[in-house]
Amino acid sequence: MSTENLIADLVRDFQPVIRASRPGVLFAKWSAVSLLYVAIGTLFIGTRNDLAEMWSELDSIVHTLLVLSVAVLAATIAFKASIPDRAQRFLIMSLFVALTAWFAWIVIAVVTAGEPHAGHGWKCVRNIVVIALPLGALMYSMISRAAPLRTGTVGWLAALSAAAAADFATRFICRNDHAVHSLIWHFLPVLALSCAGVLLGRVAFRWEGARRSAGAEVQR
Amino acid sequence: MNPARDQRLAELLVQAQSGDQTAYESFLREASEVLRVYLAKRMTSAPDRIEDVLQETLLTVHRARHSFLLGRPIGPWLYAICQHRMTEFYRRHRRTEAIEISTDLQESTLPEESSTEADGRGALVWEALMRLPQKQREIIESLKVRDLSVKEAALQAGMSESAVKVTAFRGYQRIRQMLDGKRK
Repeated sequence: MSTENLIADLVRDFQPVIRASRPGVLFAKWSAVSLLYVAIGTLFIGTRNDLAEMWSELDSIVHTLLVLSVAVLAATIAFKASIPDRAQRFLIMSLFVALTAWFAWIVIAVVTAGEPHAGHGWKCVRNIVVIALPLGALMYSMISRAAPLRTGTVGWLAALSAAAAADFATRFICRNDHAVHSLIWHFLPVLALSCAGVLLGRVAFRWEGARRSAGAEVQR
Repeated sequence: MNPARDQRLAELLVQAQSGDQTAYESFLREASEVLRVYLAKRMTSAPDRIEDVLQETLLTVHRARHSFLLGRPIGPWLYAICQHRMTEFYRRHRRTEAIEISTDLQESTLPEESSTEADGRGALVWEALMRLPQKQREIIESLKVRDLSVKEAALQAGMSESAVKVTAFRGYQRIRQMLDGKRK
């Protein structure tokens, strides 16, 4: 089929479309809903009773802010990447810096800490998953209305953002601040969820699949 | 893309998003000219495939036309889609090329041996072939023993041609591994 014929077919197939929302608007909506959900979820599950003490320790504050920055940066890049455009190199670099800093912070704490005290953290994993699922589902549904080109990467970013936001919430619930516990029962589950997001992204963002079938129809 | 053209294309696409079919046709024609030049500069190793990638890009543009945002320059949006399709093309192309090269290598290495060596090696290859999973064995037998073409083997096995090539490639790899294992 020649390009001329293809253009003629695409014009014949043409219909008006509803323009996608701006990434900034999507991010603002998602953040507002997430903040509300995280607040309600945290209160519903029950906050830790040493919350004031947690906020008085620099270690804890830096750790919490690192988790929050990963969630915010991953969400920002995921929404921006849902529109075909140039890569946001500065944001991507910032995310990797934040993610590395988060990991390094925990590893340094593990090395410098005395007795390992990982404890049983299945409840933390459950909380992260329960809080992350609706946040992730909302983000996937918002992004799937746009046109992400790198579906796996965007899926990873969306899942990372939802999981990091859930871990941010879990830090207000879990009383165990030990580094080994944070590594095994908080950081690794977030990483695992974000990896699952790659596969999910490839399945959930099917607009390219739809494109192929539309292309097939056009070519017939 | 010069700013005047960028603005014109952006205006056409915005009109098209609202339902103007004529604007959409003009947009596609002008965009295809811009993209053809863009691809010609980058696809110097496969100039005969420029039209294929251009058509795939136009299809993606068609499906993603709702994602162009009002007030944004159209160049980065259009080139990002084109770049993505070009990368996909090269990824597919590299994979196919690797399979074809491997198949050719298998064919070219076998006949240059003395008859005794060839007999011994042939027996080993035959033994390795017999140990392959049924599907791989059948495909390699069709291609190498019965001397069928890939197309004929695909028809006979009820598979696509590329699936036949992939299956054969995996079979060759497995045979090579078995032979290497025996040599050690």
